[in-house]
Amino acid sequence: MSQPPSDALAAALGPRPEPALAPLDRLSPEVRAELSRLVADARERQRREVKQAIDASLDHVPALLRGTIRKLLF
Amino acid sequence: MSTLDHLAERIKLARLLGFSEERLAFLSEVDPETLRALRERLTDTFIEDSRPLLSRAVKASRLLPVGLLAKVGERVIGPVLCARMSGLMEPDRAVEIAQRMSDAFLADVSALLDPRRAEAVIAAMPPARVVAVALILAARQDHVTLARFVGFLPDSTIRAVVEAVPDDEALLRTAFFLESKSSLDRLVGLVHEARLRRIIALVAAAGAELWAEALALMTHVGERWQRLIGDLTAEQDEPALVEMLHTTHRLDLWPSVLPLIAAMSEHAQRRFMALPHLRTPGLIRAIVHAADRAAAWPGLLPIVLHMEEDLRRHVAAEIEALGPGIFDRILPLRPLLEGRGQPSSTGPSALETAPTRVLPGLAAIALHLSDATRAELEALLRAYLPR
Repeated sequence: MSQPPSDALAAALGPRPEPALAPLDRLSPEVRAELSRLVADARERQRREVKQAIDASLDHVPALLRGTIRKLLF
Repeated sequence: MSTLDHLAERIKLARLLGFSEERLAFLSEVDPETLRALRERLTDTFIEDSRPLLSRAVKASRLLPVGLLAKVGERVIGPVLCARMSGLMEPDRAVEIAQRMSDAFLADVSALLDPRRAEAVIAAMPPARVVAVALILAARQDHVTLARFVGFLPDSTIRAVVEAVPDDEALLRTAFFLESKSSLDRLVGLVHEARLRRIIALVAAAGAELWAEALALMTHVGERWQRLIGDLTAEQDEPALVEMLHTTHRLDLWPSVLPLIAAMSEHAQRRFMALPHLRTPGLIRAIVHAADRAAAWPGLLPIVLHMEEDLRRHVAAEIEALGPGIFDRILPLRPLLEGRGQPSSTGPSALETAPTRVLPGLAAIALHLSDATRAELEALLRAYLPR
């Protein structure tokens, strides 16, 4: 029995992906690698964007509340 | 519906990943169900990645007035994060904030929202606001997003949207992208018959491309709606019906289209069966072979009753050419004779109802079978009928 792939896609799908995702283990190595790369890029970009957006929104919070909000956030 | 299913899933996955749909063309071999499961799993993963920070942001937002949150949300946070946060907020507060955002921004958020996670927010949105956002999505031709919300809005709101969107093609294309058969039945049930008639006329006028998609839809609706839609289709002029049959043949959709025709009223069936196009060389043969391949005899044999005698003779010849054992495939009687397929407490099984659908049609063609083939059919029926 072949080992399930261990890549960024597998990491994003988690340790127990549902049976409906099994066809992804049978993709050609090229297709799997490209999909894995897109998922990794998207995941990293979205983590970064969440942080940036929250940081940027602080600038719009009234100065009086900014410290409190910052403490709640970070 | 597989081509559109695939396109819809690629669009939704591409939006989640933040790429254009074209970037995912390399996934053409992956079936739509897998793409859907992938999207839903990745949505969960992406939300979990930022859940701690987003949850703290939602908590902190309780200190701020909704007017400010709406302004910051629209100008700074953006649609991706607003879509994520909406599922983490109290629905009433999320709606209050949304009410102060522009329709265009809410349309952006809707395109990125996972309706499963914001069901309460969607249900609590005032219908007038939903209609305003839907009109923008329709103008953007974002039928994928419109379709996603059908399963999450009350009937009254969907009806309001249907009535507000004047474009029949937008409605049809939205239906193409619905995610479930039940949503399709629901949507069809909320569209007035006069509008259904207009939509079918639109398909008929557009020709092959739209027929292919419309046929996929028509074969997915429940039998009640198949009858209505089928009857409205039969009202179209002959070239339109020929185009429909031609598309069915070209795409090998007979196994799905035969039950559709069988669901029509007798008058509509007669109209189809009287089309000279059915006499196109090879067409009857293709239909009979498709019925055999896909076990679609309960779709074909009822409509045989409405064929001219010469066409019935043709059907009989093609059935006979399928060789010995064909009647075991047409009439699933042997499992009944062998004690399988017994009646259940919930009603007759498919095995039991199938003979009643095919027997009259079989009787109609039996006259045209050779003696030997008719004897084979009679032997099977004799074994069954004493029961």
